[in-house]
Amino acid sequence: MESALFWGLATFGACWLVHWGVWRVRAPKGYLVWLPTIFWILPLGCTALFWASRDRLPPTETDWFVWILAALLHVMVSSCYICGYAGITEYSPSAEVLLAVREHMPRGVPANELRVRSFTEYCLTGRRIEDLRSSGLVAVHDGRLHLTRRGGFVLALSRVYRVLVGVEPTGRG
Amino acid sequence: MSPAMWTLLLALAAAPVVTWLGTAGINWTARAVARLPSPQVACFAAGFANLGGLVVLFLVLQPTGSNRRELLAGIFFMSAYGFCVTFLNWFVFTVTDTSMHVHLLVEIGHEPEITFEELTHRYNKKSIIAARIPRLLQLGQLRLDHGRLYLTGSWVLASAVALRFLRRLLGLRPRPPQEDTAPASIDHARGSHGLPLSRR
Repeated sequence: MESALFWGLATFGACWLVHWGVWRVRAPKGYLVWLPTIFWILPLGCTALFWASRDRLPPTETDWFVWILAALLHVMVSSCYICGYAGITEYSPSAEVLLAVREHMPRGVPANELRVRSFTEYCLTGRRIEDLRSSGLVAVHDGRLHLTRRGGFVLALSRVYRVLVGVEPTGRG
Repeated sequence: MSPAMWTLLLALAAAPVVTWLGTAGINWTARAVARLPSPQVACFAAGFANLGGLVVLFLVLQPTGSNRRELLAGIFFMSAYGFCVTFLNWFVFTVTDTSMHVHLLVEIGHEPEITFEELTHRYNKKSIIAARIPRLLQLGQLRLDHGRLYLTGSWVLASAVALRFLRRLLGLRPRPPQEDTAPASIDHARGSHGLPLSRR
């Protein structure tokens, strides 16, 4: 377990350093391609190269167990990081609400006087519509927006998931 | 591999599904007893129950007289793995619940051939902020007392501060653009398809 924990966390740490290095040079726009490449394909390639480049004794059952555990831990931690990366780039309105209330502590602020200066309308909606268009989920015809087939599929998937998990079919945004 | 190893691997592989089923079970039970389900709390409750189950399973499968370091490493491993599963379970739910991208899809799906103006009339900064306050009250991050809002919880704010630190580390802008600073890309974006993307 000790080796599995070490190798799982060390692999994640090494991949994170590569990610940090790439981002310090220039943060790429398509992070959904870059991050899985850095966190999943790169360690897979390195492991394959390592095994191909030298003669080794065949791994024992314990070796396999440690590698599978380390791989599971790395995949889980890196999946969390990749999912959470949206929170790094997208900014959370909830967090901005809390930061706005914090400015008025300890007296608090009347709910109807709360002003959240951060975020422009463009940042909240305009840019997101651009994202939806560029990912092929929404199309524009004669200045009108409509769902593409892919967009309809994503929406249906979200509804099915929510119904199965026991909540109302659409979230409140 | 020994049966204990197989049991552990299977438990780890099944953990995401078990956590998801636990979340659904809590929500459906809450509905059955006519209580309003708090899905975010259900995600965490199911996740942490699963985390506890993984740690207990690991301890049960250990042979007696195991090395203390090995035990501690195993407990830490299981906790880290269980925490990640909890986060992913909560994240998937949150995407369908609070993601603005998904909500825009819902709005466009409700009314096909909607114009940009109609869309921003329905879903804009005001409605987005208004939807967040009840949720923050429900999560115990805010308190409403005689019409005034007070900061009470800390974990959402703490995660916002951690994210800001990560942004700095990665060389990204630490805070979103403020209302009085229009993004330079607006005109460029507007020109690309003729939609009025900004409301200055």
